[in-house]
Amino acid sequence: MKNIKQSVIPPQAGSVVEVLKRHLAFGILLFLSSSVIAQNDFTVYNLRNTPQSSYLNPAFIPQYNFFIGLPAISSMSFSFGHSGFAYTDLIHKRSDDSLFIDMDNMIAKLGKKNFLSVNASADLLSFGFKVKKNWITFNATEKVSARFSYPKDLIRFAVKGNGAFLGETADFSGISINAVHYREYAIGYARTIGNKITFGLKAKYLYGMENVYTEKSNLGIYTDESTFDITANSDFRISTSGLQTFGKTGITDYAFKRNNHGFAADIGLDVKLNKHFSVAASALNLGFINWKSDVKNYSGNNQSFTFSGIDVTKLTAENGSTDFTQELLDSLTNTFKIEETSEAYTSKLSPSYYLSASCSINPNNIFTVTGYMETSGKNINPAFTVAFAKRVANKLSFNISYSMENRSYNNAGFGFSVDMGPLQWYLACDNVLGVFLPQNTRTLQYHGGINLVFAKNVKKVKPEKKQPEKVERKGGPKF
Amino acid sequence: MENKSPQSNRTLYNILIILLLCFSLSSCVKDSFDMNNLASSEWNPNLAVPLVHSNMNLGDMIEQYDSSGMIQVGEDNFITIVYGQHLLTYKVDEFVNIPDQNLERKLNLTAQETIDLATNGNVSSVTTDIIPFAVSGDEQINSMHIKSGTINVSVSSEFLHSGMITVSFPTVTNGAVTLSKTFSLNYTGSGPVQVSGSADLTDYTLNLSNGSQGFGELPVVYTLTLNNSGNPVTTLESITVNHQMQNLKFDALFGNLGQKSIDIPADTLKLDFFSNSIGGQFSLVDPRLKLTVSNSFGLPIRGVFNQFSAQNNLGSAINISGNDINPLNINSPSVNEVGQSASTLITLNNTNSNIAAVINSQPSKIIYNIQGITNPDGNSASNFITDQSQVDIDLEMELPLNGSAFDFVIQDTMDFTFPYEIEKIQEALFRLNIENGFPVEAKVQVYFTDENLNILDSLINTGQQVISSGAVNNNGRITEPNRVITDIHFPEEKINNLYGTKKVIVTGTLSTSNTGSVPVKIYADYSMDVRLGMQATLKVGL
Repeated sequence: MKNIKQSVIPPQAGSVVEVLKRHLAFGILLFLSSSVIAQNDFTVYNLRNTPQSSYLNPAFIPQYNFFIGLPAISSMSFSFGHSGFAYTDLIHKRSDDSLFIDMDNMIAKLGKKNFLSVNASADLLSFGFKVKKNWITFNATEKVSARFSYPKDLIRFAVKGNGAFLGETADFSGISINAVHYREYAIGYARTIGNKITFGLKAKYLYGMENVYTEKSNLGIYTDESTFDITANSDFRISTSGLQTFGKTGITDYAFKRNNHGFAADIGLDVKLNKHFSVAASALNLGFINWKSDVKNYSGNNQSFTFSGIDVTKLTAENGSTDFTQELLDSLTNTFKIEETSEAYTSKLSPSYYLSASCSINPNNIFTVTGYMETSGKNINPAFTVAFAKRVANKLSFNISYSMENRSYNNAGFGFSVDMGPLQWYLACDNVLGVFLPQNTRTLQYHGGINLVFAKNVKKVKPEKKQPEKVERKGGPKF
Repeated sequence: MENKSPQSNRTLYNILIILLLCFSLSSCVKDSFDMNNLASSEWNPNLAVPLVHSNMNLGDMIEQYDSSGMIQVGEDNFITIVYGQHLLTYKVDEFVNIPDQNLERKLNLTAQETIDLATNGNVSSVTTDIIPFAVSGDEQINSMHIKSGTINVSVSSEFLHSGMITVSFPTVTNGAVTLSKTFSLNYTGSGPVQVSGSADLTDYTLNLSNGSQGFGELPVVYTLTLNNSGNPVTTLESITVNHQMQNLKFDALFGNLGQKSIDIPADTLKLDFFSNSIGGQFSLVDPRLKLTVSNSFGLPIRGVFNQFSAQNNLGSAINISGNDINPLNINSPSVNEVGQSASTLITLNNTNSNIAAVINSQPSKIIYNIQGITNPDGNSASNFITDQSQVDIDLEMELPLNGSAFDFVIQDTMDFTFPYEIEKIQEALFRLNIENGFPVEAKVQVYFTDENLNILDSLINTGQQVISSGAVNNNGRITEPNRVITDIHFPEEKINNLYGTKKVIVTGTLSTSNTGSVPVKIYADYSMDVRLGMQATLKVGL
């Protein structure tokens, strides 16, 4: 049977469909941007003269002896990513400039598992200083992130209907929402051993404020190909903290007195192989938060319900029930009963890993390839980037990059840092095209801020001297 | 100031150019997001849903549906359909009517009694009389027990003397009490003296057999006493007594009720069992028709069927004949069984009647016209009736479900509108999945018609069997169910044909196992598992 057929129907002015259409673009963009992950930060990673690069590898020691991150503005980052599809994968433009919805293409672009993520963070305070070969840092950072994970089957089921799943299970396992708001207090330490190896370590105390944590979600709908019986299974547990009392407590209690504590660590290594080559690796966010305040757990364990159709003998019997809909709803409610508890729980952070190799043509021109991997439960989100960093003058550095991430391959990054006296302004974006062509992007990332930096310790860039042109005098007067 | 190198300037220019290019790209963003340019299109989800799943066990269904007890289940679960209908009731009101009784008597003194009054100053005169008790027919009533009624007695005395008169009915008794009424005659100087009175006859028994005929006569005794008032005494004076018995209703009535003809208007009895059958062969091994007559009239009755036939939906009729059915001698209770009923049972089966042929003709109604006669063999003095006497005739059709059918067609027409906007369905597939544990196979067809029953389209390919008989053994019992899956495809053009549907005609063609070639039996433990699912592609405008 045909499942999808496109045809053109004249729009009906004023209809509900029209209203929905007017808001469709906004809705899709909202969908694409309303969920989140611990997004990579490739451009800042390669802006090594910024202190914030040490957030991505604690072994990166900037070229200053001392820095202060101005409260609230020294490091602000925001990112969203969607591994599923871009706007233009769903909405196509025809040659006549009309738009049409291409659900088949949208589904084709989906991975087996997809996610939408949003991250934001801002430093409340940060500083760092060198003591001989030691680099010591501190930062207090407010972090918010949310991730909605969904399997391809969920969208395919919604678009195609269960008729596309005859004899198989539409597997919604892994559908989850994980969101967290916490504050990180971190002390970092890095030291260069000899002239080639630098290691770094950052210890973090985490203060949790809100959390939604999907501990497990095994959901599925099976449609029997012979009888069309529909069987729904669910086994899930979602825990939350801080949602019941959100906005109902005093600011002091909210900001400092919640009993949600956690710890995490970052470790890093930077090895200079020779004059031109170096490698670096880091593991970030290896930790957890234990949630005890305002906790609610919602769970349903190994629930299963099969709908085989209406039993007409019950409907038509003299004393039988005729309110089948109510009976069905009662059965569903009884089967998929959600159990509520208030048990403390532990949520893990999503660890991420960087591995990079750099090639310096000279100190002002560096090529770097970086592999990235983030894990969230059983899900792995890899990314890869190639970057070129150039120091143009002693006060200006910039970085361009190309990345493959979220199963998209049109990510061109750009970033720069510029020193203006003790002020260092930096701005980085992993996907510049996403700013200008949001309809094509699955990833948008921004990180910027202003630092106070002191005692820069770097060799000045020497202007490349041009060889004076040799002037051949032909036939001219000789001296 | 530090001078920038030419290389730095080039780099900055390059960055600026790249940024300008990026901004230029953004000019095409607006068009991509302008939803006014979005052409309407269709969303065509394909849904597969189970609509119906019923496991229909015959025994359970009988429990649920058969509140009338029409279906009887034997100990071995064998099913017998017992179709009982009340044929007629004949009541006593239509049989005997007791009219009001009116009688007047004039009493005179004899010459001696006149002398006695004049000389002795008083006299007592006793007069005995027999008054007739009228009936509307030729019934000869010996006695009657009164359920309700009154007697009014009025006296008009021309005597110029005071006294009293007693009117007694020696055969009208209520236990040991005899009906009697005494009236005072007070002469006050003018006449005639008129007095009257009444009595309730409820629970009195009237014995009407003490007259010379032995029936229909009521003795009465008048006792007159006069006291001489000094006025002249003559033989010309008299006293007139008027009796009125009114609104007489009896509890019981005895005597010879004669030979009466009882005419029952012709009537029709509808048989729902075959009301929807329109053809095919149907055969039961042992059908039975029972005629049960309950008679509480205390007199023999003989019924004669002027017509007793069965007619099917196609209009063909067959007379019902058999032993003892025509004439139908109806038993009656004896005089010692007053208030009881005598039962007469006539059973027609395939050895004493043509009932098998009648049932196999799939009758939808029975037409009957019966006439009765009382005391058919001559008068009897030992008849009786009560106010509750009646004759009831009941018909009971017993259909033990042991038989065969071949292309037995049932059909029904009903109003129908689609519960869903079918124009939103692009195509649909209905899947009928039936596991049949009955020894019956069926072809089903549903015709969609307009208001005038013009067929728009049909549901199933003609001749397609959707129910296949389970396997049966030599005893006609199911040994294994059989499953048939039938896919009914409704492409778009077929759906378009259904837009004007107002009625559906449902036709089922049933045959027992092996195309009806062997008898099968139906048991209550048979079951059928019916599943109906639908897979549809919808048309949803976007």
